[in-house]
Amino acid sequence: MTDFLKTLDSTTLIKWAAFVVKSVVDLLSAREGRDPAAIEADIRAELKAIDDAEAAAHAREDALADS
Amino acid sequence: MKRVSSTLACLLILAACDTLPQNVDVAHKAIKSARQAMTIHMDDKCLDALKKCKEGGIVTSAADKKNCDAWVTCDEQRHAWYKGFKAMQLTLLHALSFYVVGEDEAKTWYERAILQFRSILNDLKQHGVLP
Repeated sequence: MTDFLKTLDSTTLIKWAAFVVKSVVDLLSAREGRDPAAIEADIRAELKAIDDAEAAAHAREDALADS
Repeated sequence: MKRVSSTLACLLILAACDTLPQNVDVAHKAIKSARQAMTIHMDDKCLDALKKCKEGGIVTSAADKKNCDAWVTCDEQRHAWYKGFKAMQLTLLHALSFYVVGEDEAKTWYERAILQFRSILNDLKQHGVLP
């Protein structure tokens, strides 16, 4: 095994190391991983919810103030 | 060897950046929860202050003025917090969009969102909105 590794140049070793690191990270993040587009859609929905909540709060206060 | 080590370090940093969507997802959920807690708290507080202000009728006494001032302050504070939450979500969106196009700035934007979040959390804790 060691002899085999010695035959590899540093570029190949780096590529292997990168592959191993990437695979581990992918495995770890895959547990609860979601598509960035889905996360973006959720954040946009929350931005709308923030505006809606602010508008609703003002509407409640306006209704109370006018009553 | 030194060159190999630094290249590996760079790759590790890039690999860490790969978890950004998951980090953004978790941060988004935390911000959403804090925003919902703040909304419930402030809605009750502001409406209560407004009711007390209205009960006073024409504002003449110092107590009526205090209740009405409390409502105005509450309304302004709530608006400021809504803007804060919106800014945090927009910062997270920036992080995500930079990540999608493969820009290094993604991590910077994410860290900026976390700083904003810590600051607003402290603010909410100081005002007794969050424990």
